[in-house]
Amino acid sequence: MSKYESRLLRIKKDPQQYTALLSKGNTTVLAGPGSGKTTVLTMKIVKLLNEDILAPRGLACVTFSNEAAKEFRSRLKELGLKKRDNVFLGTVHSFCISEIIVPFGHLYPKYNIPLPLNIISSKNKSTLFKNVLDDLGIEYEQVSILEMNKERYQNLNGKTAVNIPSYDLALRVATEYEKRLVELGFVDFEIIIKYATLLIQEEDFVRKCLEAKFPWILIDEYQDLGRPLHEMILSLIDSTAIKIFAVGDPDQSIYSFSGGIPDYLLELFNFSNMNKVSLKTNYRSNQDIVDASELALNVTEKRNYIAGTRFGEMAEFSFITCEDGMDDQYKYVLNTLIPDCVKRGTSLDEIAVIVASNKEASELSRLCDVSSIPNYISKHDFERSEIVVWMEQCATWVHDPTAVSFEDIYSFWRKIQSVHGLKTLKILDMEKKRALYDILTDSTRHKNSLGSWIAFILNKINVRNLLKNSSAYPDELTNLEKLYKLSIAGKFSRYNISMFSRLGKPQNQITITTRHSSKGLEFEVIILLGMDEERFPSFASLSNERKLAEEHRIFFVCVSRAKSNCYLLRSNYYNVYSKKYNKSYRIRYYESRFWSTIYTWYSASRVAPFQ
Amino acid sequence: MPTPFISRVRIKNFRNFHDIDVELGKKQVIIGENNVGKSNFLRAIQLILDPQLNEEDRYLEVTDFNNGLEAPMEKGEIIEISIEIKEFKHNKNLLCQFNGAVIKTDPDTMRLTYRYYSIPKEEGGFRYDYIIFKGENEESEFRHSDRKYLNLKVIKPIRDVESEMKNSKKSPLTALLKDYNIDISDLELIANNIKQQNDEVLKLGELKNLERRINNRFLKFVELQPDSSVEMSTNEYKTNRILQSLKLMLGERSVTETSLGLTNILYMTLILLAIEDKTIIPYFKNDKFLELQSVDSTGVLTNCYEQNISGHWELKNSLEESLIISLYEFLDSNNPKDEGITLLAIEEPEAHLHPSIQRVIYKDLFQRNDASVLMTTHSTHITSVAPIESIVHLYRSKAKGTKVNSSVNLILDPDDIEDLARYIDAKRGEIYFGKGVVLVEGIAEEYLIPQFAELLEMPLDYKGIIVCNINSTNFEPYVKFLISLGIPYVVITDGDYYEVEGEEKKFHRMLHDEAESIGYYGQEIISRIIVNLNIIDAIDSDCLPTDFNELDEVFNENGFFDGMYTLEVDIMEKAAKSKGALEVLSNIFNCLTSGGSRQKQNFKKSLESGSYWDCLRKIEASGNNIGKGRYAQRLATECTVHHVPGYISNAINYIYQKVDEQN
Repeated sequence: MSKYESRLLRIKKDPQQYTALLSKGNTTVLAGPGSGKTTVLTMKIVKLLNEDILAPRGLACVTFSNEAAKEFRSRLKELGLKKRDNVFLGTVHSFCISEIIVPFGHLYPKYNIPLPLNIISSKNKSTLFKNVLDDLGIEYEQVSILEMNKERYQNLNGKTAVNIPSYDLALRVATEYEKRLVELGFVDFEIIIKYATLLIQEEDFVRKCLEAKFPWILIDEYQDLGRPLHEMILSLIDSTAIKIFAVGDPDQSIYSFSGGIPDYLLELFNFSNMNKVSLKTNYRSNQDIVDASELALNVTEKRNYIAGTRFGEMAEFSFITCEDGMDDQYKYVLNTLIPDCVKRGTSLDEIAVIVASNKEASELSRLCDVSSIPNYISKHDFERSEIVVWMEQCATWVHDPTAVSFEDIYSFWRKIQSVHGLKTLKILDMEKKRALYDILTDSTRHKNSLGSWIAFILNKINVRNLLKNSSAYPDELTNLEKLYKLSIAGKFSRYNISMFSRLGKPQNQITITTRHSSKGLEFEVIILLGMDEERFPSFASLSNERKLAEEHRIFFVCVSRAKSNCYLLRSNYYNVYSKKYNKSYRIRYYESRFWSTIYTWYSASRVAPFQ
Repeated sequence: MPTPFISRVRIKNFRNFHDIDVELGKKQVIIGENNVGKSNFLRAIQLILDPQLNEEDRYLEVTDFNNGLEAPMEKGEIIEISIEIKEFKHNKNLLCQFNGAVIKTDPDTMRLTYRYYSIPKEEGGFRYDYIIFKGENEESEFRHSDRKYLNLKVIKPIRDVESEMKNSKKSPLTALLKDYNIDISDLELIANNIKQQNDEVLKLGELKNLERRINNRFLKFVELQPDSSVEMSTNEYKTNRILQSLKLMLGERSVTETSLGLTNILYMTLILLAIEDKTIIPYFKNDKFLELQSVDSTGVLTNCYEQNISGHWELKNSLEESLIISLYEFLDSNNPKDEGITLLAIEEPEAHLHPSIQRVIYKDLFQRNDASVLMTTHSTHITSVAPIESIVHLYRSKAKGTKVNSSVNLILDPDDIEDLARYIDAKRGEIYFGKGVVLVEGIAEEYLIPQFAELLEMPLDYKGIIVCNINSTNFEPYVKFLISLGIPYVVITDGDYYEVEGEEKKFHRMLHDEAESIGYYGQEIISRIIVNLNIIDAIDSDCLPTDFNELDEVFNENGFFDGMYTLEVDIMEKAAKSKGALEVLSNIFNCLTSGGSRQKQNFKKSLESGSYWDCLRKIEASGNNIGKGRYAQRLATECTVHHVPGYISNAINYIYQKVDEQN
């Protein structure tokens, strides 16, 4: 039986999943934690391409990140999908560039889209931002670059009825910043998305072309993608025959700082002519965890999620109060919890420590290193950019040539070169392909040391020269240097390339992650640190209903990562630094409301076997 | 119904083209003398669109560079061909595959470019490579798979139609049958029935007998083994064989036995059917029809199809355009096909066809709106039925290789278009095949001017110059047409001298000193044309000289030559200057007239006294049975240089020079 067929059999057993797979029109799938949304989405793609959409027409699948696109690509390969034209798989950003701005931007000079796109580097962007703040007389503390970016979409026209409050100071900065950006002839992520949205909204021909090319557009993690994508989709639903298949979970919307709010997905879901599917069965966690996470969410409307696995199993919750700050919690994790778990037979891969910030993650990671506990941080100092993901693919190929196609690796390489003005003559194509083939084959001798492998590859393909002053990938060289540094002296210094190729997944390591980055992951045991009121939820959220609701969703995401076990840790005292007095104070903290909710529920349902 | 067509072709440095840029329409007839590059023009388009060409064909050679370039590949010269295509946005497959090629949205226009380009080698010299790309983005490669959705089929002039029709793989009939997607199970049933029927033959006693005899003998030769007996069996009927074995019969004969002419007609018929856009399906089986009907909210299907006796559905004939468009949209969305569009190019379609058949087939082809066709031809029978705006004219220019002009953007009054079309049809398209055209207003000029040219030792045939008698002085559309095609022309018209008396213009007088107010009607006609057609840069009628002679100079520089009075009178006036010449004129009159000797005397007297208008009246008088035409016809055989009016010899000189300049 093929992988597709066996997956199909499984899907058929879940009526909601099956409905989603078969749906013919616009469909919104609300997918709870562990409900198999990626399976449904990838199977839907394969089904559409193999049965419903005739070549040359294809489809577009928009993912939240490059890693997600990579994951989709390998899943689709497993499902036996043949390569074909006019299929897009990638982020919103690359969709906007390669499917809208590049083919159509030049046809409409009235929008003054600067072509070819000259992307501003993040360093220059932050300089420009600071200049704007200086010139407008605004303190750096008052507006962050993220707050400004959010306001950039305020002046979009559109159809959504969702209204989000604007931050007027940030809006002022955004207007001035964008004016200067345009004057300089640069573009950034936000303006690219705006141009693309405009082209879709205003130009019938663009919509017609998209409709011809993509009879279906599928979107993963809809709740994270924000207003511009939502407006694009509304415009396409309104005036084309394109069918939308949107998947997401409003309860897992935790990116409001970049404009993602649950309301857009819900608006889409509630459209009258929308096929509505809710995936309610959780194939990850036992029923206790499912129930606890629903409590975490703190909403009146019941979600009614049901565990589809681990029947009859009870979850274990532990509540641990330490004395002093994060340090005591770290110590407890290292000295007690991890050894306990190991003793009980839990593999390190199945343990995650969820912390509040990247800073805490690296602190803990350093301590783990000292105690020789293998650990893995899902959020890196570098970005998993297209090029980094490509390097991972190269590593995968070197390690196992059957796992990815060399053809794909080469064609990306060729694309990167041509984007930088290095045309590949057809007569030299084979030469070039062989050269890359030889380099990769040759690199096998460095496979045991990631550092020397990366150095070898970067040198041989001369990527530094290529990316110097790149207008398409202005931050990439710095990014690669960061990766390289980590591989020789940092976190990855003991990595081999096989570990690099599986960068997204821990390898007999405990995972250390921030609450946001934990999304999409799953573990037998999760350990939640810093469960104190005014820390989680944070002090700033307490007086803001929207923010507080989002903190509840973050907690929901965290708890629902667990399959069976959940540890909550807090401390009675923290040292808090006051800028005003340039001094640290030892301050008493109390249980977080999240802690209390779970504690109350758990103690009521158990005979209190915990301290 | 919109149909994709090649709307513009630009060629640089390819073969006989140095640098041309021509706009085209849906139906294009490419004309031009032998060797001028008609096939190369198509070849240029083939480099981009023809799926039959292979990779090697697309790597050009030094001989493919324009002759005017010296050592092109050592200097790194580039060959570039680009075509633009319009009217494709209704077809989702094309829009899907080629949206990156779009260069304009209103009207929807895409561009494809072939470039054979050079890259300097480090050791000096150049390496060559080609790219074909979509739109303005060189990165967006036009690949072999793109030709599945947009391609060009070229039908060669010397074609072995018979063998193509016989070869079941190549035959257009097979392609047409395939489009129906005939149900395999239907065919299997038929195949089984055939097999069963055939097996009846095995029951014949004679066959059983023979089988036995063979076995008896055979078994003596081989060791007795199980399964080694011989049996007779009929042919296995494979389902796909059933369709492949079909052939077309003309009358009672199979195609291979009929005339080459008929076979060619049939072949063209099939080809034209085979390249039609296949979105609209001519035949639906009932179950498929019902399936589609269930998603058809507007009822367009029911309006367009009717059920036949076997319960299946056939497309109705002669549907309204608007209905066809909605049907197209419906089927394009609900019954998509993995197919594209084929543009057709036919080289010399006249091969093996009788002139009258050529007219019938191509009139039909030109009038039907739904396919784009490019054809090259030498046939006046085809050009004579080609629409005025469909002509592409290839001609040589001395300095710059072959030039191309087309009439697609010609703007004329509908009335003028009709006149022109009727004229071209009546004259069987001769106007297209002149290297130069002498436009004249009457029958007399038509007879006399070729002869005058002979006498002046500038024979028109020798240079391929054609005299076109348009039977009126409405030269304007003709001149405009010839200019659009880049065909050199000269206009010869009467001066039509007149005197003004009061409000009235008095014609048919001879110039004399007492006349106070005079004019030339011919000059007025020419002035209007020159002004209307902007033949002289930035001119309006106020700038034309008022002096008659100066005005003539301007005319002559621009290919317009007018006489003094009317042709016959001008001939008489010229002839008066040498004795024998006048006699020739009166002799012809004498020969032709049915009048008596008195009349002949009078004619001679008038002629000698200079009463030329009187003479002309006598020629034209109905009682004499002569007429201008007959007189001119006879004069043509007897005239001498002394009869040639000056403006006519100037005109012949002019067109000779123009034609020479071009060759």
